[in-house]
Amino acid sequence: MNYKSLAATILENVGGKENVKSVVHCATRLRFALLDAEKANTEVLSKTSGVLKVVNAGGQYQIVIGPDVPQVYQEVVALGGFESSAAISDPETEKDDKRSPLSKLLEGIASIFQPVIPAITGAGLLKAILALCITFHWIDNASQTYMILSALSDSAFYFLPILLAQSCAKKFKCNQGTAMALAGFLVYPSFISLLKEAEAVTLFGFLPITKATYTSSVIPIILGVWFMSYVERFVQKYCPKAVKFFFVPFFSLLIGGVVTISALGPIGAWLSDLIQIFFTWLKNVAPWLVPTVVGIFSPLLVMTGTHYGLIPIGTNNLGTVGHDAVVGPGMLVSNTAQGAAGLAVAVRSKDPEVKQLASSAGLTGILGITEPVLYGVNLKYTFPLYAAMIGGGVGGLFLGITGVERFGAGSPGLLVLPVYLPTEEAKALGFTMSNFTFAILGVIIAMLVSFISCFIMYGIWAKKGKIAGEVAAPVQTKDDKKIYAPIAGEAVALDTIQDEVFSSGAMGKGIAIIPAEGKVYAPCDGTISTFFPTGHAIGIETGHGADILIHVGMDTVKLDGKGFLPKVKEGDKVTRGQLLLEFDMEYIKSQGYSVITPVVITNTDDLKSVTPMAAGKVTMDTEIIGIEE
Amino acid sequence: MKTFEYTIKDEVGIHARPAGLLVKKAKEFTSVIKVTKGEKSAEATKLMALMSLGVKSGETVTVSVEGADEDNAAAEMEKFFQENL
Repeated sequence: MNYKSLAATILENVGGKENVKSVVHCATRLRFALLDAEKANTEVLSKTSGVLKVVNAGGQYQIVIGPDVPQVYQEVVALGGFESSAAISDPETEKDDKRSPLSKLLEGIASIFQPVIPAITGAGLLKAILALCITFHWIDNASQTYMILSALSDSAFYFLPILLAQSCAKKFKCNQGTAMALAGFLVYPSFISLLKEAEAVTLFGFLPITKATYTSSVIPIILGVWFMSYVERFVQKYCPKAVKFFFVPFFSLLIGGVVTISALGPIGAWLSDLIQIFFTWLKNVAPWLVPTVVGIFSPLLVMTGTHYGLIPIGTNNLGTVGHDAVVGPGMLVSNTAQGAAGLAVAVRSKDPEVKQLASSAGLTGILGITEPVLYGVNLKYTFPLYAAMIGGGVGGLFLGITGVERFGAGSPGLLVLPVYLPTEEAKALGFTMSNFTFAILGVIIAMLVSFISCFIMYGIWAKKGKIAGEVAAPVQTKDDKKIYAPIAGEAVALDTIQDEVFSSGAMGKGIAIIPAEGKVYAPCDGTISTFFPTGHAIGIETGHGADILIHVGMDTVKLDGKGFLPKVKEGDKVTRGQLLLEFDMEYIKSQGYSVITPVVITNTDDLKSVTPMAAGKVTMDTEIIGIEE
Repeated sequence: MKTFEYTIKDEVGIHARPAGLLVKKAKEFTSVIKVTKGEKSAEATKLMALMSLGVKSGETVTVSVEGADEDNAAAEMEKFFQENL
């Protein structure tokens, strides 16, 4: 969707920016406070591609866009020069937040990463290509070309805290500039040298500062900005107005910075030490388990920065005995598994943007750079992460049992496989080509298990309606006398429809639905009494007194069938939830037709009462009309 | 009983919109109004039945009106068909 042009169209048709007092947005709608609502061209707006519907209620001119309303909002605000506000909660779609605290945490991290994903995806791809060039000796890793390109591709990762700080500031509602300055401090060159070279570091002579590495880190800055937002709000509240302007950022930085480096950041460093102790112990107890455990938990370690506890073990092994089975193999299968999971999402997703992101991120993940796929796909949907952990675990187990070791260092991924070829020293120790063969097999196993698991899980999650953009298929039940929504979407009163024939009730009483997807399912059991040859209207005779008409779109008969794909025919007996019709929403809207779908009881006069029962978001499990015979 | 024949001019035939208007109109009268296409017949006040007839452009229907106000009703119905279908 072209957000800019949509925003321009919307702004133009609400009467121009002069007619707008203010505009805010919620989870799915733009909400305008207009000076004169009459000036707005509701008809034009309703038919605009990208607009699901228009509601003028409660003094607010609301334009329903869908989940990408934040992007449209940004453009509207930019075009009109309005004051930008944070999203407000949507009173019409209150849903119980049943997610576990862990899910909320993971999803919170994923949402902080969202704005950063394009940068790390692009940089990741560059990094991967560069690594490829080095492997095939197209570029010399001592050359200036390599140094320049390496810096270019690594900057997004090195300075990750700064990139994340801006996003964190938006989420925790504090000043973005101060947050980024805090992050900049964590990666300030002389501070980094100090932490690296000094024996012990203290602040003010007594406060111990942990020697941690903050470049490429994630958790320290999230914690830091979160804490800083409280400092900021506190100072804002109690500071005298005259000095507020410079005192707020002053205290935010000072207190935020000190607390971050003395308490918050070191949490990660302390956890890394624990990790190191654990794996050293495990290696002595059951060495074959190490790649298995690493294979499973590697993504979590990388996310929390605690993999820094693990990596030194590997580096040390390589330096002393020349081979390593602790870090290399486990991370190799984990990374490739993550990439494979991302690819599985790319294959199954129907959203072109998701497909693009998941395939490019999945590819770079397989090659060894996992940040894009981890934060952009796997963490976002969570189930790919589980799939990757399963794949990594199985692959790791295989590598552990076969005793695969690596003989050199490199970003774990397909490109690092050459380091599994035994060197001369390794051959002297008894390693053979089988090491390399098993390494490849382990990777294949990990990727296959991960891909297949993710592929299957995608279907399960989609059916449960947990994936944005994938509407859950309804449960088919027999003998259910209730009338459910034939289309998932938003239910509105019939009298809001522009067409008088429907809005007046001439076609019968009922309700209208603004579709979320182009699929019509049987609202209840019955027989198809009419299926217009043009495919846009379906008549169902239920066994128990009601005749239901589902009419997709307004005047869509004029499309003469284009964009409609009937799945059943006249005379067919259908059960509730059965797919009756598929229609191309985008095409229909592009031809200038509204897709709002009235669902009416054509024999209203024969019944005692017909009552619309839903408003707002409906799924195929929502009862929409109540009948009394 | 009064009857008249009418050939549908509207290129889309009797689709939802005109059917709805037809039903609305037919309900104004006390007479029983039937629309027949070939073998099939439907009461003009039953929307679903009307649409099930599947009357397309160029097809001819016979409209029968029987009741106390049949003279007025037939004239009005014929006028309706001419104006809308």
